[in-house]
Amino acid sequence: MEDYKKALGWRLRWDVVRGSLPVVDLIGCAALFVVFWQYYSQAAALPAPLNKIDIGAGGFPTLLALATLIAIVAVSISAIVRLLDPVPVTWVSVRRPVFVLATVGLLVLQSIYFERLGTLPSVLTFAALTMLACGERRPLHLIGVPVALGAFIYVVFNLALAVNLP
Amino acid sequence: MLETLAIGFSAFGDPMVWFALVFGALAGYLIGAIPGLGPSLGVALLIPFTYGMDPVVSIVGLVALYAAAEYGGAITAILINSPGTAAAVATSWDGYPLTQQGRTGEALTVSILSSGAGIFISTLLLIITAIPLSEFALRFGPGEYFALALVGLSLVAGLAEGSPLKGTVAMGIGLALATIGLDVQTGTPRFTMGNPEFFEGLPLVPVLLGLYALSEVLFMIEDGPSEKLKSAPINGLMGLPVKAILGLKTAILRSSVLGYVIGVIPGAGASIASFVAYAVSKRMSKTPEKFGKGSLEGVASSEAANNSAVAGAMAPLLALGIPGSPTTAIMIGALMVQGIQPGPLLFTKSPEIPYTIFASLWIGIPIMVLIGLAGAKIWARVANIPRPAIAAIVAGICYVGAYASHTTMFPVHVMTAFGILGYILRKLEIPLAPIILALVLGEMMETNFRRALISNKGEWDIFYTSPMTVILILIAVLAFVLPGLSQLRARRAKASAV
Repeated sequence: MEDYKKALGWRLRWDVVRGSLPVVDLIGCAALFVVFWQYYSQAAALPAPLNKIDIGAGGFPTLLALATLIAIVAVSISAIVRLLDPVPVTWVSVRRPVFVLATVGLLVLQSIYFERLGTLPSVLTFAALTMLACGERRPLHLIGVPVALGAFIYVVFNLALAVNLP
Repeated sequence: MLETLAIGFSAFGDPMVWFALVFGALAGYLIGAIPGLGPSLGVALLIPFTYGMDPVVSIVGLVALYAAAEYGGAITAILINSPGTAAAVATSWDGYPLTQQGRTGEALTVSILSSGAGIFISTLLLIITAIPLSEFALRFGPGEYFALALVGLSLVAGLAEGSPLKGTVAMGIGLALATIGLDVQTGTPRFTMGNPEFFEGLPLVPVLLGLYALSEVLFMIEDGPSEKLKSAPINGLMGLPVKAILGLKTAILRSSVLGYVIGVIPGAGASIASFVAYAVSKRMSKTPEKFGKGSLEGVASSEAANNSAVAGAMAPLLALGIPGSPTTAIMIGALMVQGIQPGPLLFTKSPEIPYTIFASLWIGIPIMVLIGLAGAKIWARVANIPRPAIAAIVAGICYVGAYASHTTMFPVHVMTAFGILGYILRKLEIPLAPIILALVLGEMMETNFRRALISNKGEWDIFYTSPMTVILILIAVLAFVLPGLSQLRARRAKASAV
């Protein structure tokens, strides 16, 4: 079994990043635990109910936070069990990680500059960049699709639906 | 009932309703035929186009898209062995072998007619069951309503792909997101980080667009440019003898009923319906050896069931306000945008909505069949639209749609954040469906939970003294425990095999 695990193994290459699901689960659980612990602290700090028979604004979120924290711990335990038992682990992979990361950056940039650039320039620019990140290299496609998309958005949202776009 | 049903049909006097039906069906075929894009993404993307529309017009468009997307997946499943949706996987098991045998036209004809029959039968079942169910639900108190929402969520979390534990975490995330904003009963700001834009809670449509559509863009980036898929020539369309079609009636009827029943169960959905119906038909068939090698019965069973599940998923949505699938959860978002709250009171407060849905499902059948048969060659080509173009189009509509929802930048930021979060969660195999359902049901769940306690003077016994509440909570617990146990058993079997 060890051979099997080694054969697939962890990978950190430019074209693929791969890790075992139980380990990724543990990292995810740690992050979620921190988030829900914060959520629990804030819920517990909410004002107490004025009415004794009510649980107040913080009652339901507190119960929810506790239940979710228990579920997160259970997922972590299950991840540890899966790491230890002989059944082959599942692998999580991110292909083309550089492009995925670049697109995440593009999405964030688009959300910042959408209003400042204006809808049509923003759609034209970011659509072409998204296509480039997705592997499109044909110039005609890189120009044609964003222009067609921009025209479609203008006709539908501006003219037909009368939405006030920036 | 016939009088009220006439209200639904009368909506079709408006040409805009017809336009919405045809547009929704075309968009549904388009979305369904593209592998990787499903009805959930389609409905989420269509919502921005419904802002400012009449509620009836928008709901007809959304329902038509939902139904057509389920069918659209079958076309590529048959022609190029690439199911457009998960629900069409079982269709490809027999559809593609039929194509390889040069019987593409027969496979397409059977799949389209079975889909139409499935929708017809299931809509009839929907009308028969949804109205009495909504009348029954009117007797529910807050305790029962809280338990009912819990059942819906637990079924979705328990039946979600991956582990039920991760489904539970997803449910927790969704419910936590639903608590953001001003507390409905006391007006106390909760988890708003001091930002007044969060006071009204998270805007639902941008969250849906982010989780379902924008996250998919990142998956498309991962896949890179797609390779061209070669489609087989389509011949013999509608050339199948009527006798052969009539010979499939038992399988279609059985699968439609099965599909409807499975569709009603929250979380089960169209893909489970098609797998179960396929397996049952194979077991009951006179020629089970043909299944998997090009059986028309197999295609008919899978297609009748997955389309029937569409109407099935509508039953808890319309009658109880509990969505039966991620797509219907997104549809709740669309209804809320229009100021409509689904649930038992919908039939009395806004009867035109449920009855127009019933009517549109029926009226949509011939239109769907026509579009499917006439455009078969076009839909086959749709699967070859370059992935980079789809990614750019989806992202563009997401940004414009999110902005148009409030004409401010806040929803755009929310949508972007949820797009990235959705990608990470899907990589961690945390299902998105329980998050959406919990987000939609969260406020109703908390309100009824607190109302139940207040009505019982703060005593918790209200949750274990009412027989209905006890039964519902028991179902909710079993919905978590049973899938978990079966997974554990399967894992032990694997471990002992190793």
